[in-house]
Amino acid sequence: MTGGVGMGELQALAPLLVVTGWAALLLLVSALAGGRSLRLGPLALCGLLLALAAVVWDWRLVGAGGQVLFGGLAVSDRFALFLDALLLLAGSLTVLISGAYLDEHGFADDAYFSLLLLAISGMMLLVHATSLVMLLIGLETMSLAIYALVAFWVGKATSAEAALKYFVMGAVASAFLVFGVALIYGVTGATGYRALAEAAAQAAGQPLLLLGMVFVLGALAFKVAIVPLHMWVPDAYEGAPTPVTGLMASAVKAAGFGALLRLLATSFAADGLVYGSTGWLNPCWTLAALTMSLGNLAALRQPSIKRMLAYSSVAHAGYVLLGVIAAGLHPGQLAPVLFYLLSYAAATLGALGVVAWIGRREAERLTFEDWAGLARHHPVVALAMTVFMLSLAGVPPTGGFFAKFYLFRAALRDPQLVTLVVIAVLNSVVSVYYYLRPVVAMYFQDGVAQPQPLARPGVYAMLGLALALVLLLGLLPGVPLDWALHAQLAR
Amino acid sequence: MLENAMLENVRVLGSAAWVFVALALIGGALAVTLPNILHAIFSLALSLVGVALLFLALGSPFVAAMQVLIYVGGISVAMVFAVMFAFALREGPAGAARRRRGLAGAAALGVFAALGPLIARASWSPHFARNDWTVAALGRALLQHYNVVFEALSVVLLLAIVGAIIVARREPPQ
Repeated sequence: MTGGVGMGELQALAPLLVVTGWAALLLLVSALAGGRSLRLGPLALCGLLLALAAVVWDWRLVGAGGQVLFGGLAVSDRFALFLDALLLLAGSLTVLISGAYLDEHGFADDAYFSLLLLAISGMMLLVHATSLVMLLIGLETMSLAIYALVAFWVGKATSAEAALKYFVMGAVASAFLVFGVALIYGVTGATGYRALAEAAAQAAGQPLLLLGMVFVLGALAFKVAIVPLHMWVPDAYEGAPTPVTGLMASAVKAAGFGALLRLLATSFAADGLVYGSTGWLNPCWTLAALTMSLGNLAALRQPSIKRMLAYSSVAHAGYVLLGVIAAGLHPGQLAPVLFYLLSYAAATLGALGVVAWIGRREAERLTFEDWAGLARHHPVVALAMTVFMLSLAGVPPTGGFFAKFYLFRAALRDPQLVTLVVIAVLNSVVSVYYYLRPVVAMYFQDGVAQPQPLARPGVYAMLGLALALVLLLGLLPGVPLDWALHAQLAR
Repeated sequence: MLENAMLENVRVLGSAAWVFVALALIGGALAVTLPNILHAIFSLALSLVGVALLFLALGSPFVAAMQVLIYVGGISVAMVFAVMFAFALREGPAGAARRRRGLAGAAALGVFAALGPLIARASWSPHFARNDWTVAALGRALLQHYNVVFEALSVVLLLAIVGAIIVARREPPQ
């Protein structure tokens, strides 16, 4: 019997299996509860922490070289495990804040947590996939769960509109992915990344292969919101329940970039296909410059903090793309991108956590005026929000500063990227203006009414953890950076 | 002997391939133009039958049968039920959508004009020229090498069902 699934393979994929199984368990529990309202948050958190423990266990198990699974359909290497840990961390923070948020806004939480766990399992599959088939399944699992989570706000028009917009555009992106996979398979006869790498090198000149690659990469670029495929971001981020927005900004982005990096580094890295020699560099360069600039310019003019953070996520996708290009030109340099994704996830989750904290039922309090005078009533949360904003802007001593510094320094090694780094630095300077707007409102303006935020232990725990993570990444970056440096792709 | 008979069938069906292509295309065009949603679904079923016949012409009777069973028999019927329960049957496109129709048609033709010659000129090497496309061989592939894909897809289906229920429920928040 060839091709059967062995115990060792299941062990190497334990984090993914735990999350998927736990999602089914949560569904069963809510089905057995028979309509009674349960608080499944703590149970979901247990599942995520268990999966995190499995990641730590697997980190030793798979070793530096990684382990190929299921005849090349998937892989378990330290690159994927690092991103798994990031995804599980983002998921845990989201679960922590979701319980109170669901209560406050009157959602029934019956399937919320299982959908959340299934979304994370899809993202994990996305970063473990080494076959276009698995890539597609991972992307669909993630997307379907996120569509449902965006639409979770029953009876709120903007949530339904956001979900529909995201769903229709996402379905088109998925269709392009399938079309691209079909073209690539037609030209090369391969779907596995390893076989694809050899076949693609031989078929490098074929226009259909190039088109197929553009379609597949375009579908992933849609998910991580690279300009011009970012049009859905502000509406979807604003209409979604705020914890879901946090998950989209942090985890979906990390998973999408993880899949993009693996695809570029392992299968489209042949001589005729790499960035430099066929002119890949120029389109990628232009897209990165456009993404960071347009994201930042649009963020300047947003009246709503949630929309501002949405455009800020577009801008950050541009910075990460700069890192992806640098990693393509100097293979193996993945650590700056991974570290950046981690630090961005912590800061944006924290900022959106504060947005979820301040909003009450029927009053989301999203404009800057709503935040006026917050520092007088809630000095600690105002300080935390300030740290998150400074981290997003890239000001020391936060994780955002170190991540940007490290990413830009790595990119500067290549003379072709100097201009792009200059553009990125200018963009960072511009972004300070809008990141400081909520800070100015909180500290230097007088509020008309005393804010009545969502004062619940889960919310404060989430904000505290995000704050600790942002400061840790800035002040003691050595340990996480060491992990990122060990997070290499399987050869 | 059996193989010869099958090849003969494929040859005969292959000469009718353009009829099947026409069937698929006409069905597709009707599906996006007819104002009555039920009619559109039936046209889609027609188009899917055309695709099934193409599979048959290409020598994949099993895939053709599955195409009819799942898409024509299952999904089209499910769509009819969903439409009968949920929507008004006759919904013409809104004014803006009507104006954009020409633009959408032009874009589709443009993509076809760009892709068509490329696809016609490309060298499609037959990667699987094996003849063992029997149900047993497919089953072995699905439950051995692609077992994990098979299982992962069942998770996607579970998720799609749960997600659809969540999105479709109507009761206001308590």
